[in-house]
Amino acid sequence: MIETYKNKSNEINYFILIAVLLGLVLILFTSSIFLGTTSISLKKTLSAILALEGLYLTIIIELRLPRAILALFMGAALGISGAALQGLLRNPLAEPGLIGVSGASALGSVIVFYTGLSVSYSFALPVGGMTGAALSILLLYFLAGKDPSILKLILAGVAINTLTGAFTVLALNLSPNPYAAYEVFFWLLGSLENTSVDHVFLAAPCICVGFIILATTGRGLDALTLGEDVARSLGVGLRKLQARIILGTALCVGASVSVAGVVGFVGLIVPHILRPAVGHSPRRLLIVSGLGGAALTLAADILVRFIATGQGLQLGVLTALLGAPFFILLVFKLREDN
Amino acid sequence: MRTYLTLASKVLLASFFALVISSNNFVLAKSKQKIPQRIVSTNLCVDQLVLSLANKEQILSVSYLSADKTISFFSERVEGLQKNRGWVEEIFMMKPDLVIVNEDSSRPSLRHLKKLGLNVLSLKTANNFSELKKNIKKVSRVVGDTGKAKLIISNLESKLRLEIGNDYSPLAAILLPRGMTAGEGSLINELVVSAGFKNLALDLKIGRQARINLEEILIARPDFILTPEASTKFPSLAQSMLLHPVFETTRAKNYRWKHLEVPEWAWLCGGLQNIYALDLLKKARLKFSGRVDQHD
Repeated sequence: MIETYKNKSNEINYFILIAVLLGLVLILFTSSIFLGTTSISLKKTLSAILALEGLYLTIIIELRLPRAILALFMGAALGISGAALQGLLRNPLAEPGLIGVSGASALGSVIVFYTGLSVSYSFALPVGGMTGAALSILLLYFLAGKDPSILKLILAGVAINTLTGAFTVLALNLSPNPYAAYEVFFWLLGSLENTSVDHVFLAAPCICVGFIILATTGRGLDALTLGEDVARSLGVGLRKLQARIILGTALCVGASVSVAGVVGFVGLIVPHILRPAVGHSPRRLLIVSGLGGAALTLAADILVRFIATGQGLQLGVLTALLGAPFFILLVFKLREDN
Repeated sequence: MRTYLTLASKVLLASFFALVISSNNFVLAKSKQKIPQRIVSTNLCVDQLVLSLANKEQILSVSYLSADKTISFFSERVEGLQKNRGWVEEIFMMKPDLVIVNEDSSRPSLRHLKKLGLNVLSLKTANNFSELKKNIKKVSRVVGDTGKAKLIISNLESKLRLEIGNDYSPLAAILLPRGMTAGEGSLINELVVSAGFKNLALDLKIGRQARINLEEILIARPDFILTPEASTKFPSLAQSMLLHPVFETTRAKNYRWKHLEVPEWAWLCGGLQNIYALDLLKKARLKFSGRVDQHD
């Protein structure tokens, strides 16, 4: 009796949380469109939208909207991937950037982009990113095992990150284009500057599919918290669950990184903040982390427009500045627990 | 069509260049022992000066960038020359009798080269025509040239002279790779202004080399957007922003701005190749002013 009552109140809290996060995403998305890199007055922006014509409308549709949409999708992708990987590996430090999935996506994208393959076949770009992501998760399993300790996971992540980072720089150096060598910053500390509608069409569909795949792994992840044997006895196919999470993460992270570079720590910060709010349930954490990730990325992408405006601060720098303290906090917490 | 035009102008420039070369061949023969015969140049812009002022037989090596035809006017002329990456060891092993470097891009190796007892000439980056003139004269003096420098300078000077009269000066937004623009105190700015344009970067009070974003450009409603040609064979992000679809959209919607592609080899470095950039810019401006007059 008491049990069902508690569940019910939890369920209500869960939906309130989702509604609050949705509202936050909506506010930040709108702000992202109104607060561009150049100040166009609110009146002009509104009248451009209402009149459906003019230069300002073109600027909004072709420059600001793609940027806001990609921030939303990328944030959602990184947030839910972090939550899903943490559920699968039962480890709060499993984050696409830390364990090397993002870095591998960047390597895949770099190879496809600088060889000119993506000029002839534009869809090759997200495919390159997704291939890199999927391969890196398989490599992670190979290096750390399927139930890795925190130490093993981090070490494997360091190894993959170092390897993919080095190959990314090498690939850029091998490009005959004289500008390529200077572009490692974009790939390793991503940015949404100058993204276009084309990028949205490339990345958004992959992210949507990946998001749906990950969002439906909740029951399996909840069962997994009770241990693998119990999960199996509850009818959860572990191999299938793994395969779905690898596929979903690859689609989400690979597509995001291929258009905007590596934006780290979103998948670490957001699930960490929201986990207590959903009663530590991996299932509930999925959707809220997606929404939270979208809100965080939108907010960070608005903020970079106002810090060091002349230099064009990279989005990845800001998320790393926000994320590193969280990482340190988590390390301390884990030390206490041990 | 435009490729042919580019080709034709390149041929014209080249024939002018051939004339310049023949003019002082006989002078060289007289005092051969003093003139350096193993010149190594380590910077793209320095290469361009050396290649236009010294005879090819005098040059041992140029920077690897000079073989790239998108950024180097002399890409064909450097065939057969050694390409260097500006490493001290490799330069030393070439046993050069003159090394010419850019002071701003290779300060540490400059120190090492001098320590090794090599004969080094260091040039400052030319950010305007008077600095370029100084560099041309410096290089001309050390490579034993007598006539070419004068010819190049007088030709550039006559092209730089502004003859706008009462013509309308179109507003030009310069968009370079990596989202940079060329403002006050840059060679590109001087070329663009000399060709009779107003430079948006000056209105926005942007420094010599600063970032400009696409919104700023579009809101200013320029008459021209000047960009280099972007390589599509081996793409880079730096250049991909020059191909942002917003340019096509705004043009399709009848905003009266023109896109003019200036090849990078014509304005990235100072030298006689700037004549091509100036001609291209002036032609575009005249055509545009004519159109404006007809309409008004």
